[in-house]
Amino acid sequence: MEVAEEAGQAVLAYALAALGDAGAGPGEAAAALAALCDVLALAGPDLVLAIPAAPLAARLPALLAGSAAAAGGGGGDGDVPMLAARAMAEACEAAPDWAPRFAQHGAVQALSDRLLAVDSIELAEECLRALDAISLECPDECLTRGVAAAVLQFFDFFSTSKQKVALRIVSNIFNGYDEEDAPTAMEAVPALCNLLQSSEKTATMTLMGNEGWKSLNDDTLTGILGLLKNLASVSEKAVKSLFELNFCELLKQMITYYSSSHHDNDKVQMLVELIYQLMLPPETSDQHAKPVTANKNAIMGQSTYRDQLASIVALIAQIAKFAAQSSVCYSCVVVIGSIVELSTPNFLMELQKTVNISSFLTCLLARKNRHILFQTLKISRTLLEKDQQFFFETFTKEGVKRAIDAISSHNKNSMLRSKRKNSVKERCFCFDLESSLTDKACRVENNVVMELAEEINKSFFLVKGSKKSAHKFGFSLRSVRDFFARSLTSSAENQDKCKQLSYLPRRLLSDELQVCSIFEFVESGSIRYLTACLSNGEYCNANPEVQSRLQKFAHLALTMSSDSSTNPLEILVGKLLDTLDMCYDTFPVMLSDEQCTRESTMIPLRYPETREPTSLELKFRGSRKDKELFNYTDVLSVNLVSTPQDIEPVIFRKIFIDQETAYKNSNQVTEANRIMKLDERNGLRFFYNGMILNPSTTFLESILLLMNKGEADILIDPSFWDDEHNITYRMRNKSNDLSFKSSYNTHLGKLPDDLDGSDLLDVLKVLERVNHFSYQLLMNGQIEKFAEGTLQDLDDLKVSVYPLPRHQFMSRLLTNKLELQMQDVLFEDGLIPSWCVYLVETCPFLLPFDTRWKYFCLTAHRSFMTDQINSSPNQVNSSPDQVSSHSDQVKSPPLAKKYRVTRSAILEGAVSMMTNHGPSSRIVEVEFEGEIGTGRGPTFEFYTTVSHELQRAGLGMWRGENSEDGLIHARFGLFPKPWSSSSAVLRGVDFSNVLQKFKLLGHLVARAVLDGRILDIPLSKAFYKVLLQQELDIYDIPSFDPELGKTLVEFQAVVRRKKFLERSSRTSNPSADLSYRNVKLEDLCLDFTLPGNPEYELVPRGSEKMVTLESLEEYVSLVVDATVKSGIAKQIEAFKSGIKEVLALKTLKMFTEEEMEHILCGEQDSWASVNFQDHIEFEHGFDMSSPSIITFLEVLREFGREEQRAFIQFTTGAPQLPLGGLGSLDPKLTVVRKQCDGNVDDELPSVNTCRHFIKLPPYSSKDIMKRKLKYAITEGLGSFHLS
Amino acid sequence: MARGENQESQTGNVPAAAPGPKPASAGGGKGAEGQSVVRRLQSELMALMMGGDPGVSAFPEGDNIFNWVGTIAGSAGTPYEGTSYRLALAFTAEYPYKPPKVRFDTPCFHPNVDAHGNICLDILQDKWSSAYDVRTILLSIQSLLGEPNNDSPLNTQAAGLWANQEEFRKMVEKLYKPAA
Repeated sequence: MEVAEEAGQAVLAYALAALGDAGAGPGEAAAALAALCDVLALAGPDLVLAIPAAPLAARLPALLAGSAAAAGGGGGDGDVPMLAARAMAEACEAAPDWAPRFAQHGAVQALSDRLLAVDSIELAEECLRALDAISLECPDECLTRGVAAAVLQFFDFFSTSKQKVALRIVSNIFNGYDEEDAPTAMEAVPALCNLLQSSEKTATMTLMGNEGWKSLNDDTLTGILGLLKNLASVSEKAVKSLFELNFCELLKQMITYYSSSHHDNDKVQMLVELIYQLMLPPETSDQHAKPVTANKNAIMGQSTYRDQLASIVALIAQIAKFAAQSSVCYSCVVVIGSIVELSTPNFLMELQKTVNISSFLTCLLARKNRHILFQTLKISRTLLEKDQQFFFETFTKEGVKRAIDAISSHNKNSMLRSKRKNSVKERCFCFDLESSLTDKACRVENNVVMELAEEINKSFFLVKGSKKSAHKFGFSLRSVRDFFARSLTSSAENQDKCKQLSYLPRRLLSDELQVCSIFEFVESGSIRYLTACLSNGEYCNANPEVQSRLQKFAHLALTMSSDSSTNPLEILVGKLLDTLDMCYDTFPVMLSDEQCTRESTMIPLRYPETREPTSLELKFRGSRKDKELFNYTDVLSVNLVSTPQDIEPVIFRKIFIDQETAYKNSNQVTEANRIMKLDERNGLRFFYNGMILNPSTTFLESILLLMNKGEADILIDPSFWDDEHNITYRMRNKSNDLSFKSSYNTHLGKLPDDLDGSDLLDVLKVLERVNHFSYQLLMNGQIEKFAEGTLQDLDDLKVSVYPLPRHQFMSRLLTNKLELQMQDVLFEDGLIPSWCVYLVETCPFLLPFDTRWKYFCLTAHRSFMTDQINSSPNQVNSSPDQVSSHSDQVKSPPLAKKYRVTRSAILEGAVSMMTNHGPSSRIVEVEFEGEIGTGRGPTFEFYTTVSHELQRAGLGMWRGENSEDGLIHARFGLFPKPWSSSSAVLRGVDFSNVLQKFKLLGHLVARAVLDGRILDIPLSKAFYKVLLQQELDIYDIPSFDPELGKTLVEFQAVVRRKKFLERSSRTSNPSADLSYRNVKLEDLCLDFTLPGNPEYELVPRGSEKMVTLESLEEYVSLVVDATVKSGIAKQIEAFKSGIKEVLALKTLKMFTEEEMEHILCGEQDSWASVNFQDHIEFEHGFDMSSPSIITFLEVLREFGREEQRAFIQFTTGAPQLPLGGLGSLDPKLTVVRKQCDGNVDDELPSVNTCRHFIKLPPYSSKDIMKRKLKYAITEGLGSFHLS
Repeated sequence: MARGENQESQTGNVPAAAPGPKPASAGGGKGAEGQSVVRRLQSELMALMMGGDPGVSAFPEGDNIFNWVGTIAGSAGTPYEGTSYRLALAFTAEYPYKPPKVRFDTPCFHPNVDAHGNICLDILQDKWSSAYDVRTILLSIQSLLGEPNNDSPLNTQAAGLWANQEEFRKMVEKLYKPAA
């Protein structure tokens, strides 16, 4: 060591001497510096300090700066500045005392000049290193020299680690910040903003367009935001310059981006905190509060900033409303509070008009979290203080007043709350927005909330209360409300009531709906009215009265009003979803531990092999009241999904087997023996803390909810899993049974209007069905019109349907909540609140596809487990797996299974593979006999080949024509060919073979879903409906066979007309003017065989029975039945049995037909990657470079899946492109210029489906083109509905 | 023979229109097969022979009742006056739910007819109705001759020429090759 040190000293002496010599050449200087660096890097602080300071401290900065000019000349001394910087860095890092010494000699300036000159990245990096050390010691010096701006100048060129260093420097600098230094500090602010904004450099480097911040590394982004936050918290000027830079716009972009993904909650939180700092309310800032407020008021005074703020408020209010985490919501509310505090009354009134802040307050006041309540009440108070008159009225209309009333009265009752068990934590948010980490007491006690509510009541509402007027509803809502008032009091006149019910939709769906507040909507009883009117909660209510009401409702709700583009259904659904947002606490999220969240991208389809599933310790004990059960005690560790129903037989058996042995021993045969059988009359009830447990709710959920009275969201303490939870059981008897049935489904709590949360969901369900079946409903209406004679021509028997797009039915709040719940790693173990299951199973339309798919993946392993256990169907209740001790549950690791098939006999191979491995919980892979390939490639090829084989003509599986390549060609997708029950063999095809193939298809479909394979088979929409267990009817036929379907629907109309005429005029001869398009039915020469399938006789000797007007009804119903029901029942059954062997069919019900197709067939016809220029031709006035064509292609690319499909149908007549896509279209799709006489923008595009021509008017803007094109492609779809 | 050549080339170009396996097997299989369609076609044949519409006629070709040959005469006052065209009609077992495939056998210079004789006519595509029959099809095509739909031409040259009826007439005559 000493030797080394001595050597070091020697080198040092040499280096210093060499450096001291100003006349030395650059080469020598470089060598000396290099030596110096080496020594400094190794030397201890003592040695470094011992170096005579003066010469070196002056010399290094000089070397760094001095040759700056020379370096430009391209001399060989390029290394000198770099080495000098490195030496300074080494010195400062070894001994911080060196930093001020360098600083004294102009090192800071030299370093920042070097940074700005940006000669080489190595030099810049060394400069950063040096500055990192120096800025720590001399922040002021760095600040005044503009280092902050300098290090940020070329930020983009630094590596991520160096970016961190740069940020550290900036934050070091601002540590010593003081308001007087503002001008220099402010130089850095634009640089910081630039980093987030689109700088050209960023754009070119990352190709991310103008969203540079997206390309930033996560940590860096967090760093920058943190910096800005700190800056904003200390400097008023910084805030101001941020506003000047239109920072709000940027913030908005970022917030929108991050809040749309479900895994960046922390970033959203951070952004909200940043805004909070920008808007720090006066009362929380300390000593220099006064000037700050004054300044902030000045900012608020400027109108440009106000607009920025208003849009920020709108955005934050959205986030607050939809945030699944109360903490995020709380921060947002606080931020809004500070903005409100600073705003002028005028601004607030504007805000009310644009954002409807009152409605937002009502929504939050329906929550239980007292922190949020407290802050919301504070905002309400502030608003009232600012403009009492205005906000008193708005609050009354929007329901804020009512909500505050409710809080002040309600809380009195629940003030005395028992102390919580500590295994369910409650979070206090009081200090979320402050940086101090000290644990202070929560400021918001329960009574504080109530007191504040009372205070508001007293000082603002009661003063006016003298004239205490009832709430004024608009005319329509009043009639809805009156109707209910009457129907509650008078029980008579049922018919009158029915009439009213069918009359009211016109009222409800009037223009008033759009302007009424959510509060008024709920208060008027509209939801209950809708429930009563539309079927009492169920679609497909067979009651014809309800059916006709549904028809009328659909007609009213879906007809586009001429002046506005929104139809009444859209408004109605919007209102209902807004109401749903008020039910925040109905859907409690249960998190096992905050830290324990899943990686965003990791969605396992199978249970992780490495983990032991979590279990719950339950200690069962007989109730004291049931003496004969009392003696038995047992501790079980159950899995998280166990319900009392599952456990009941286990406990029951244990108790009575034990008793039996006891009785046997004592030779006593008593009555007890007779009640040993577990049946409906005898059984157990379970209790926790004296409360009865719902037999179908998991123990886990019941216990958590009971532990956690009041607050909605639940945070489970780790100790919860170690504790034993005491459950008492008791014999079931009738008295405690009754209490139970009534409270079924009560986990969906109450709405403000005492409306059951499930009522709301029921209405939404009905509306969604109405939307989904809009084509059927409206078509039925048209047929009725024809029957009654108001419609004469069968050609008018079509409807244009504009169903709401699915996303209109989605709830952001519930999506966010479910997403948050799914982030918990215990989700796949069974930490699944029952509302999740309820939503996914009964209201999947509320959730976007991605969320449902994630849910499916996370719960799919369950269907394997149960499938394997329940190999015999009787063994449902007592599955031994539900209860087990810790160790005996060993899972087979999900390794891939391999299977070898022969190419020449691929279908046979597929059948035997599926028979052997179909139900396996492992991934199944395929190898081809005699080929080396293995893994994904051959497996994918296998699925593709088999799905092609299943489309071969002559298999007897599908409807449709044979094409040249020997495959069945079905323009509208494959649909099973009906097979008469009387013929087992037809044209050499054995029906049992057909069934076997359908079973194989079922296997393939299920395995493809589970293993992520892709099938290349164009199944029809109607077939997917079957897969999703929906019933088909006459209206589904046009979707796979338009010609047949159209004729059948027309026949149906004729039948209805005949019936109508018979009803109305019994005396005259009704059939006189009944013909089918002026042709007598008999002249069509139809017999009772299936069209196109003469072997299929619809009745015995059907080929000899002719269709007449009299027998038309029978004929139509038989054809429909054969086509979509009985004729394909066996095939469908075989198909489903194939699926069921692999996974539970009902788990797929959460998807729609289109989504199922997407899952199975992948993004085959995604146009993003298609090179249109290769596949489309342009003629007659257009070529590739015409502006219209360029926009046209842009519009095509922007089309969604359904729009693409509609476009294809519009131009080619069939919704599906042939195999091979756009490129294999023959003739090629051709775009020609449409000659227009009048205004171009009034014209619509038209097509020639024979030649695949689209005639496009040269529209003046892209917007118009998109609109017209969309209109044209959806307008033409009268006869097929593509919802 | 001109006709024979014609048929060959058509079969090659438009295979879908060739006599499909279904009617073939329907004719050759059990007696009951396709009886409904056969019955219907027979009754149409009767009606056509009785009806005596001017300028249109049709008759099954050979023994196969699923393939017909139709003839239409150009209407007076149109460029087609004095001409007569042969058409091939191919029915499927799904007739009358599905339209027959109809093609010009005689070359026809017309905006809505392509070089292979394919016709672009709405009632033969999406506007088909089971109430239409051979007679209505032939009458529709006859009226199409005089009133082409120039907005969606298969033959753009013909569509362009239509405005000049005299020239058009010359082209029709030039390209007209009546069947033997």
